[in-house]
Amino acid sequence: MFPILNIGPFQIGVYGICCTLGIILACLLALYNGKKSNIDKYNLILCFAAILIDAFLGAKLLYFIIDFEGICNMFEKYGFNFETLSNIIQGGFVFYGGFIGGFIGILIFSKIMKVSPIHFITVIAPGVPLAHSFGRVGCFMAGCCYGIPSEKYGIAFTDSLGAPNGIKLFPVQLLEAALLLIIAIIMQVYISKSKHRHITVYIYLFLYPIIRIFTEQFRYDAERGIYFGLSTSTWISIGIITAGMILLLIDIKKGMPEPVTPESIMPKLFDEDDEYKDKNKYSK
Amino acid sequence: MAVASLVLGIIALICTISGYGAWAGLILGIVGIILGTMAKKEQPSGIATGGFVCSLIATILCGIVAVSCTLCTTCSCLTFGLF
Repeated sequence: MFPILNIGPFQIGVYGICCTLGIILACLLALYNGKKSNIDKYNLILCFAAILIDAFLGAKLLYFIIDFEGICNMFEKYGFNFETLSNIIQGGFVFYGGFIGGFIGILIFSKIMKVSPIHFITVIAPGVPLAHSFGRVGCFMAGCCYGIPSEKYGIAFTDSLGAPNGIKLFPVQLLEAALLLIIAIIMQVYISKSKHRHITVYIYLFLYPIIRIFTEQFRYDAERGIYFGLSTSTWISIGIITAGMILLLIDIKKGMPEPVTPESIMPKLFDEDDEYKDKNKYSK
Repeated sequence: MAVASLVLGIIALICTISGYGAWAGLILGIVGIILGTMAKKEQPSGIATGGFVCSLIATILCGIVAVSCTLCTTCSCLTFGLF
């Protein structure tokens, strides 16, 4: 739709702008949630760095796995040189690879810093669908991850390098962006109001895969990989829902941690032997 | 660590203007942020803040330049005969 932004002599990919803006907003949201949860901001920033590195590696690794044949064809056609390698590294990411990579990043960071990962995961969680939402808008601008042909609801791309130009395609990217924004709002409202804040992670683990399975039905880019009739992302979504259910069952079995209430942290007003505790003492 | 953060941030900024080095600048910028944050945590100083800010700006700019999903898969490029 609008893949390149020309600023003077520079040509900047709009997808990169959207992704970066989404990540910045997600980090700011996590810092805000972290401040309310009394998490050290420096530890949170270090956690972001770990997530970014691992998410980048994860997203790229899954892309290599899904499109291994296409990458090999590219090397055959253009040769194994720095330019081809750089083009491959710069283009093509798979969200679920980044999601799993980022999650592993939090676990590695928590292990190194000897802190519990659940607190970091809880404050960072609402930012994930927010950043993803901006990424999907970027996908729409670039013309990738396009939808099925639709005369009634479709939008025809004119400058897309991914989607076929001139054909009306359903804007599945915008649909997913809107649904992701709704998930982010639900998660943020829950984390602000509820005492069991870590439940917000389960909201994402169940809602996003369902949305992804739904929107996959409107996707038309077969290059994302189809196995046994379902796309790669659909299989991963099923895996995430299953993992979420197992984690929730373990949580319920272990017993939800007691929420922190004012009464639980207030000092006791009376000792056990305090004479004022006996209400009837002075009524006789 | 503060000086290392500043140096990495400057190198990452230079990588921003190079199209091919942008993804290397992204990694260097993130490492610069890590070193800058650790330096600010242990001993806040002007150089630590400068290194952190420089690395942050470089990471953002390199992220915009490097993360360019002009196509989600290179296969699409070949399919539509764009290269």
